[in-house]
Amino acid sequence: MTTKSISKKEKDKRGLYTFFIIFFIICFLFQVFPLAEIANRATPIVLGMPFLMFWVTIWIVIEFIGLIILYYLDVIKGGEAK
Amino acid sequence: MSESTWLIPLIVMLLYLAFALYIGLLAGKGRKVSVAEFTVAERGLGPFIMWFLMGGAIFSAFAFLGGPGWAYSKGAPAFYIFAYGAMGLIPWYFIGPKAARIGKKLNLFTQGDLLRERYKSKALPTLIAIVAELAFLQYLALQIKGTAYVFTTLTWGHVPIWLGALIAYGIVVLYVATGGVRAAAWSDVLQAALMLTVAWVVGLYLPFHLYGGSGEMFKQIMTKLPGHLVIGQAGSHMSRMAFSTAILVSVIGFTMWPHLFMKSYTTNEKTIKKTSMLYPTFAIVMIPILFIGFAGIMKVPFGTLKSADEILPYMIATLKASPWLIALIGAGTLSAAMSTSDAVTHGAASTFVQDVIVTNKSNISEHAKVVSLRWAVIIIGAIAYLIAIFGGQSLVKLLLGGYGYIVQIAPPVYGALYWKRATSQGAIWGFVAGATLNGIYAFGHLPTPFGINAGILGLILNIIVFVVVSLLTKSESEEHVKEFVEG
Repeated sequence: MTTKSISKKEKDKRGLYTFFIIFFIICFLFQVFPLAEIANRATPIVLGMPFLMFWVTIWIVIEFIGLIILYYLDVIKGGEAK
Repeated sequence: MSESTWLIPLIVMLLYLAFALYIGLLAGKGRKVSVAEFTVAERGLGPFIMWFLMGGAIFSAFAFLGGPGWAYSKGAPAFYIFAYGAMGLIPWYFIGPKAARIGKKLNLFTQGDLLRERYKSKALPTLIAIVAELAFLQYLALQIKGTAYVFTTLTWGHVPIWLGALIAYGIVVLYVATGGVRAAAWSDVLQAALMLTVAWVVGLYLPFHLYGGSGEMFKQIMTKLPGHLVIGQAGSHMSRMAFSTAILVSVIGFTMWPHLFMKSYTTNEKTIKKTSMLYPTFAIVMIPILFIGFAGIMKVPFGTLKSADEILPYMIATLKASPWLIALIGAGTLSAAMSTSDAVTHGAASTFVQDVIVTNKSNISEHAKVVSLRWAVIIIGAIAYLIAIFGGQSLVKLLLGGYGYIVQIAPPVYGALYWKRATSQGAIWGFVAGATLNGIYAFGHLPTPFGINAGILGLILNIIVFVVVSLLTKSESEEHVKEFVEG
């Protein structure tokens, strides 16, 4: 592998990581204030949970989906050596 | 439960303990006697076991006792627990593989090893290790107390506090001292599986049994205590700022715990990524666990309990539940406490031996190091046991205080991996400033400006001092720092 192709791969990885770090920070921001104010109430009760609890749960699911996509692009498609 | 059936929970808990001991001892059998084996299982743990190890280590007695305790006494603030639980390992996806790569190249075992090599400083890892040991002891005392509560309450007082704690934690110390991290990891498979099962069974059973469903339960709570299910409004128990910064301090601090950070050295890069990816599945466990605490609100009048953390064992013991269910909960809670205390005891011993003793005294033989590690497990275990039995305070508060110190390790670690200009003086003075500020608030019980978490205030000061002092002092050679920052 030439030096140039390594640096291109490095650059792609860096871009991917930056994108997902921003994505996870956004997920975080929606679970804390002021943004969590959107969901700062007890009703409606969804899936047996008060609304704020459901809100946090939804973001856990979104984070999980994000991690799966990141892993797929980074390790499976990105061809991590080990 | 009637008093006559207390033998069933006792026998089931003892059977579980015997099994945990057996697995722990078996895991370490026939392995090489070396520091690399004892501390990091020769960097060879697979994804299956890593998931259980990390999950078991993080979700502790706190999850079973403190979590429901918060849901019961404070309500919505308890949501912070699974919010940070799900996010806490995300930073590891990015820093873990890098730490692993450098660790393999330079033969590192602990967080202190990394800091010592990067900053060429003995003082920094020693200082951090000493502060971390104090946080570890608090953390362990909390787990030991958790096991003791459970043993005593679920056997109707027939097993005294000191004995229950001694049996359960004694077993942990025994298998960790003999088998190191491998023993902790394999016993965690049993423990975490059991704790997950119990969380779901009990968490779903209680609301249905007592209220006919969790939706109905929350409706009743809303009527009785408006404000209990929201943050920062009339009647709620935590301000918006305190809630937000508690999550922040935990998410940053999580991977900085030395016993968790050093897990970067127990496996390869791919497994670190896979474990981090799968980790939010573990946070899902917290959802039904909190139901347990909420279920107590209408059934157990406030003021009945000495401490809100007793809500789960109290409800189980006073409900006319089957002794087998009680037994299962007992074993589940013990698992949660033990799967954390094994990793923490192991981490505390490794940190002490590697970061304090080996760092400051270079000519120690491999054999002497392993012997020291085993003794450190036993001595740290004994101290934690004594603190647990003779000291006291609410479980969650202790843990938050701990995070306030642990989060101060973040600038030195991130600086080591990402900032070429970071220097040892910057790291040391930043850490000292941050930890001191956090300590002043924690010990003085002082109110913080705007209710910001004291750990975050410390961290801000820490970063400022770290950056300013680093820029004013001479950095290590370009070639040396490249190995870490670009490694």
